[in-house]
Amino acid sequence: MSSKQYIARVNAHMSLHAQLLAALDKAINEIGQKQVALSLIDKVKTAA
Amino acid sequence: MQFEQLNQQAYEATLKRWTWEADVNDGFPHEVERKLRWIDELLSNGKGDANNQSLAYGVFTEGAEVPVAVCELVISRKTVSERWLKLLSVMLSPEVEAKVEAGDVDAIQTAVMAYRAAVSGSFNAQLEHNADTLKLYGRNEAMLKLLTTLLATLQSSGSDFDAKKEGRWLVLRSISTTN
Repeated sequence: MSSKQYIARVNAHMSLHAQLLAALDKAINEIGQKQVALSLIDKVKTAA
Repeated sequence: MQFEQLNQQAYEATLKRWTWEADVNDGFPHEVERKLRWIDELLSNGKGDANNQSLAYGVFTEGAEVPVAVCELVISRKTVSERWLKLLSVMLSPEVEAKVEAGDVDAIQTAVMAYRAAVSGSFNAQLEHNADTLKLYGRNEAMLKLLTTLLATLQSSGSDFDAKKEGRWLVLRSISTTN
Protein backbone atom coordinates (compact mmCIF):
# COMPACT_ATOMS: atom_id res chain seq x y z
CA MET A 1 0.00 0.00 0.00
CA SER A 2 1.41 3.39 -0.99
CA SER A 3 1.56 6.25 1.53
CA LYS A 4 -1.19 8.01 -0.44
CA GLN A 5 -3.46 4.95 -0.20
CA TYR A 6 -2.66 4.59 3.51
CA ILE A 7 -3.57 8.23 4.23
CA ALA A 8 -6.83 7.80 2.30
CA ARG A 9 -7.57 4.66 4.33
CA VAL A 10 -6.87 6.43 7.66
CA ASN A 11 -9.03 9.41 6.62
CA ALA A 12 -11.92 7.11 5.65
CA HIS A 13 -11.53 5.30 8.98
CA MET A 14 -11.59 8.58 10.94
CA SER A 15 -14.74 9.71 9.11
CA LEU A 16 -16.47 6.40 9.93
CA HIS A 17 -15.27 6.63 13.54
CA ALA A 18 -16.86 10.06 13.92
CA GLN A 19 -20.14 8.67 12.50
CA LEU A 20 -19.96 5.70 14.88
CA LEU A 21 -19.39 7.95 17.93
CA ALA A 22 -22.32 10.17 16.96
CA ALA A 23 -24.56 7.11 16.53
CA LEU A 24 -23.35 5.63 19.84
CA ASP A 25 -24.13 8.84 21.72
CA LYS A 26 -27.57 9.05 20.11
CA ALA A 27 -28.27 5.40 20.99
CA ILE A 28 -27.13 5.90 24.61
CA ASN A 29 -29.31 9.01 24.87
CA GLU A 30 -32.35 7.13 23.49
CA ILE A 31 -31.85 4.21 25.91
CA GLY A 32 -31.46 6.67 28.81
CA GLN A 33 -34.69 8.49 27.88
CA LYS A 34 -36.56 5.18 27.64
CA GLN A 35 -35.26 4.15 31.08
CA VAL A 36 -36.43 7.46 32.60
CA ALA A 37 -39.86 7.07 30.93
CA LEU A 38 -40.18 3.50 32.22
CA SER A 39 -39.26 4.51 35.79
CA LEU A 40 -41.84 7.34 35.60
CA ILE A 41 -44.53 4.88 34.44
CA ASP A 42 -43.58 2.62 37.37
CA LYS A 43 -43.93 5.55 39.79
CA VAL A 44 -47.35 6.49 38.36
CA LYS A 45 -48.52 2.83 38.60
CA THR A 46 -47.26 2.59 42.20
CA ALA A 47 -49.03 5.86 43.13
CA ALA A 48 -52.29 4.65 41.55
CA MET B 1 -11.86 6.56 28.63
CA GLN B 2 -8.92 4.76 27.02
CA PHE B 3 -9.02 1.43 25.21
CA GLU B 4 -5.61 -0.26 25.54
CA GLN B 5 -4.19 -3.70 24.98
CA LEU B 6 -3.31 -5.45 28.26
CA ASN B 7 0.26 -6.52 29.03
CA GLN B 8 1.49 -8.77 31.84
CA GLN B 9 1.89 -5.86 34.25
CA ALA B 10 -1.62 -4.54 33.60
CA TYR B 11 -3.04 -8.06 33.88
CA GLU B 12 -1.39 -8.66 37.28
CA ALA B 13 -2.57 -5.26 38.59
CA THR B 14 -6.11 -6.04 37.34
CA LEU B 15 -6.16 -9.50 38.94
CA LYS B 16 -4.96 -8.09 42.28
CA ARG B 17 -7.42 -5.17 42.33
CA TRP B 18 -10.44 -7.06 40.96
CA THR B 19 -10.08 -9.99 43.43
CA TRP B 20 -9.91 -7.42 46.25
CA GLU B 21 -12.97 -5.61 44.85
CA ALA B 22 -14.88 -8.90 44.66
CA ASP B 23 -13.97 -9.64 48.27
CA VAL B 24 -15.12 -6.27 49.66
CA ASN B 25 -18.32 -6.28 47.54
CA ASP B 26 -19.52 -9.71 48.76
CA GLY B 27 -18.41 -11.31 45.50
CA PHE B 28 -16.23 -14.34 44.85
CA PRO B 29 -12.49 -13.63 44.31
CA HIS B 30 -11.89 -17.13 42.88
CA GLU B 31 -14.61 -16.44 40.29
CA VAL B 32 -12.72 -13.31 39.19
CA GLU B 33 -9.52 -15.37 38.92
CA ARG B 34 -11.36 -17.90 36.76
CA LYS B 35 -12.88 -15.17 34.53
CA LEU B 36 -9.47 -13.52 33.97
CA ARG B 37 -7.44 -16.72 33.55
CA TRP B 38 -7.73 -16.60 29.73
CA ILE B 39 -5.68 -13.38 29.74
CA ASP B 40 -2.85 -15.05 31.67
CA GLU B 41 -2.92 -17.99 29.23
CA LEU B 42 -2.99 -15.61 26.29
CA LEU B 43 -0.01 -13.59 27.57
CA SER B 44 1.95 -16.75 28.46
CA ASN B 45 1.19 -18.93 25.45
CA GLY B 46 0.69 -16.47 22.60
CA LYS B 47 -2.35 -15.41 20.61
CA GLY B 48 -3.49 -18.79 19.25
CA ASP B 49 -3.44 -19.86 15.61
CA ALA B 50 -3.03 -17.36 12.79
CA ASN B 51 -6.69 -17.68 11.73
CA ASN B 52 -8.09 -16.99 15.21
CA GLN B 53 -5.96 -14.63 17.27
CA SER B 54 -7.22 -13.58 20.71
CA LEU B 55 -6.53 -10.14 22.13
CA ALA B 56 -7.12 -8.72 25.62
CA TYR B 57 -7.97 -5.04 25.96
CA GLY B 58 -8.85 -2.91 28.96
CA VAL B 59 -11.07 0.16 29.26
CA PHE B 60 -9.29 2.63 31.53
CA THR B 61 -10.53 5.85 33.10
CA GLU B 62 -8.10 8.78 32.71
CA GLY B 63 -4.80 8.06 34.50
CA ALA B 64 -5.95 4.73 36.00
CA GLU B 65 -3.61 1.70 36.12
CA VAL B 66 -6.42 -0.82 36.48
CA PRO B 67 -9.26 -1.03 33.93
CA VAL B 68 -12.97 -0.62 34.73
CA ALA B 69 -13.67 -3.26 32.07
CA VAL B 70 -11.79 -6.02 30.29
CA CYS B 71 -12.61 -6.88 26.67
CA GLU B 72 -11.98 -10.08 24.75
CA LEU B 73 -11.36 -9.59 21.04
CA VAL B 74 -10.62 -12.14 18.31
CA ILE B 75 -9.21 -11.57 14.85
CA SER B 76 -10.54 -14.17 12.41
CA ARG B 77 -9.19 -14.60 8.91
CA LYS B 78 -12.29 -15.36 6.84
CA THR B 79 -10.58 -15.51 3.46
CA VAL B 80 -7.12 -14.44 2.26
CA SER B 81 -8.32 -10.84 1.86
CA GLU B 82 -11.07 -10.74 4.49
CA ARG B 83 -10.36 -10.30 8.21
CA TRP B 84 -12.95 -9.92 10.94
CA LEU B 85 -12.40 -8.33 14.32
CA LYS B 86 -14.86 -9.65 16.90
CA LEU B 87 -15.63 -8.07 20.25
CA LEU B 88 -16.71 -11.14 22.20
CA SER B 89 -17.18 -9.76 25.70
CA VAL B 90 -16.97 -6.67 27.90
CA MET B 91 -16.49 -7.66 31.54
CA LEU B 92 -17.06 -4.90 34.09
CA SER B 93 -14.92 -4.71 37.24
CA PRO B 94 -16.52 -6.30 40.35
CA GLU B 95 -16.86 -2.88 41.99
CA VAL B 96 -18.66 -1.28 39.02
CA GLU B 97 -20.83 -4.37 38.57
CA ALA B 98 -21.86 -4.42 42.26
CA LYS B 99 -22.69 -0.71 42.22
CA VAL B 100 -24.68 -1.01 38.96
CA GLU B 101 -26.75 -3.80 40.53
CA ALA B 102 -27.38 -1.50 43.52
CA GLY B 103 -28.63 1.23 41.15
CA ASP B 104 -25.71 3.63 41.72
CA VAL B 105 -26.11 6.37 39.07
CA ASP B 106 -22.34 7.11 38.78
CA ALA B 107 -21.57 3.41 38.30
CA ILE B 108 -24.30 3.08 35.63
CA GLN B 109 -22.72 6.06 33.84
CA THR B 110 -19.27 4.41 34.12
CA ALA B 111 -20.66 1.13 32.74
CA VAL B 112 -22.34 2.88 29.80
CA MET B 113 -19.15 4.80 29.00
CA ALA B 114 -17.14 1.57 29.26
CA TYR B 115 -19.42 -0.10 26.68
CA ARG B 116 -19.11 2.99 24.48
CA ALA B 117 -15.31 2.92 24.76
CA ALA B 118 -15.26 -0.82 24.02
CA VAL B 119 -17.27 -0.38 20.79
CA SER B 120 -15.35 2.72 19.72
CA GLY B 121 -11.97 1.21 20.67
CA SER B 122 -12.72 -2.05 18.84
CA PHE B 123 -13.56 -0.06 15.73
CA ASN B 124 -10.20 1.73 15.98
CA ALA B 125 -8.38 -1.55 16.60
CA GLN B 126 -9.60 -2.66 13.16
CA LEU B 127 -7.10 -0.28 11.58
CA GLU B 128 -4.19 -1.58 13.66
CA HIS B 129 -5.09 -5.22 12.99
CA ASN B 130 -6.01 -4.69 9.35
CA ALA B 131 -9.57 -5.99 9.68
CA ASP B 132 -12.37 -4.95 7.32
CA THR B 133 -15.39 -6.15 9.32
CA LEU B 134 -16.26 -5.50 12.96
CA LYS B 135 -18.56 -7.95 14.75
CA LEU B 136 -19.89 -6.94 18.17
CA TYR B 137 -21.49 -9.58 20.38
CA GLY B 138 -24.43 -8.75 22.65
CA ARG B 139 -23.39 -11.08 25.48
CA ASN B 140 -25.71 -9.59 28.09
CA GLU B 141 -29.00 -7.68 27.88
CA ALA B 142 -27.33 -4.25 28.39
CA MET B 143 -24.87 -4.79 25.54
CA LEU B 144 -27.56 -6.29 23.30
CA LYS B 145 -29.83 -3.30 23.92
CA LEU B 146 -26.98 -0.89 23.08
CA LEU B 147 -26.15 -2.77 19.86
CA THR B 148 -29.79 -3.00 18.75
CA THR B 149 -30.33 0.74 19.32
CA LEU B 150 -26.98 1.51 17.65
CA LEU B 151 -28.07 -0.46 14.57
CA ALA B 152 -31.33 1.51 14.33
CA THR B 153 -29.43 4.79 14.78
CA LEU B 154 -26.85 3.93 12.10
CA GLN B 155 -29.54 2.85 9.65
CA SER B 156 -31.68 5.95 10.21
CA SER B 157 -28.77 8.42 10.05
CA GLY B 158 -27.72 7.55 6.50
CA SER B 159 -24.22 6.65 7.67
CA ASP B 160 -21.48 5.13 5.53
CA PHE B 161 -21.83 1.84 7.41
CA ASP B 162 -23.26 -1.37 6.06
CA ALA B 163 -24.77 -2.41 9.42
CA LYS B 164 -26.79 -5.55 10.06
CA LYS B 165 -27.80 -7.84 12.89
CA GLU B 166 -26.99 -11.56 12.84
CA GLY B 167 -28.55 -13.13 15.92
CA ARG B 168 -26.88 -11.43 18.91
CA TRP B 169 -24.13 -10.00 16.65
CA LEU B 170 -24.00 -6.49 15.20
CA VAL B 171 -21.94 -6.59 12.01
CA LEU B 172 -20.35 -3.35 10.78
CA ARG B 173 -18.56 -2.79 7.48
CA SER B 174 -17.86 0.27 5.45
CA ILE B 175 -20.24 0.68 2.49
CA SER B 176 -17.20 1.35 0.30
CA THR B 177 -15.77 -2.08 1.29
CA THR B 178 -18.97 -3.93 0.44
CA ASN B 179 -19.33 -2.28 -2.99
